[in-house]
Amino acid sequence: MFEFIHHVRILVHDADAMSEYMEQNFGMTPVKIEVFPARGMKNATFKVGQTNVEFTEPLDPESAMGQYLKNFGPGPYHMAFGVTDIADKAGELSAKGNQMRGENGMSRSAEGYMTANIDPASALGYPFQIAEG
Amino acid sequence: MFNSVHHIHYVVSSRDDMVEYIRANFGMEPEDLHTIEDRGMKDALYRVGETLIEITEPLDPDSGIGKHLAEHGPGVYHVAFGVDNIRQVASDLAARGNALRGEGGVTQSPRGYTTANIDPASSHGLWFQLAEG
Repeated sequence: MFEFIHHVRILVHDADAMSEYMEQNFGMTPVKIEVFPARGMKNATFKVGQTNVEFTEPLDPESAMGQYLKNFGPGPYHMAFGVTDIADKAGELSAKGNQMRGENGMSRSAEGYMTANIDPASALGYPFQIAEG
Repeated sequence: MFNSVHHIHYVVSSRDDMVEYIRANFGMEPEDLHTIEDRGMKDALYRVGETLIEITEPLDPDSGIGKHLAEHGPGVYHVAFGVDNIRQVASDLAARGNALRGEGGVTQSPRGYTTANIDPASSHGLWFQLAEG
């Protein structure tokens, strides 16, 4: 079902500083740097092969991402597997007994792609996310 | 410089339960199942597009990866980015002032590929791992 790694979110203290580090050390520039006020994050997005790597600076220290960064320091926070026909996939996963978040098991991300999120209680404690678009 | 997401290393409570979950829900079979005794890791490997997914059940709760599971719960342990000419890349990174682990800045993984690991103190607190092979 999984075709590729759709995106990886890596939490950092400072998205601009990390972009600068990436450019100086790896010669890579971000596809975009964008602030999402409603989600409380600033993202520097890099394309790595088929995958979007998002360096995310949490803007609200009280948010889940802000707390995670504070407790564990910078590092990978979340990743999503790329699929096709995500609505069908979400329906199948639900039919197999997985609890899905969002309406019809899907959500639209801040970046515009569709995601389906499996409740960790259904999946041995791990929050699987699949994505399309 | 990064040409792919080379591998993503997951930590889980039970490898066999996760393999069964992935089979039942995503219809995917592991490429390989094995135990690396001297690293205390019981592993399942999946190929997802250009990326290797390594799922590890730690056998030693006091190991680094065992502690990660205890503190974070199941999830992403680390991400490695694919590069070409890793020895040259490691040498360039050291020349730019990055502290690297291992002799000559590179380490051989038990899976056969070569990695270069940047000390997080050099890279805004984030552990970068690069990999080739």
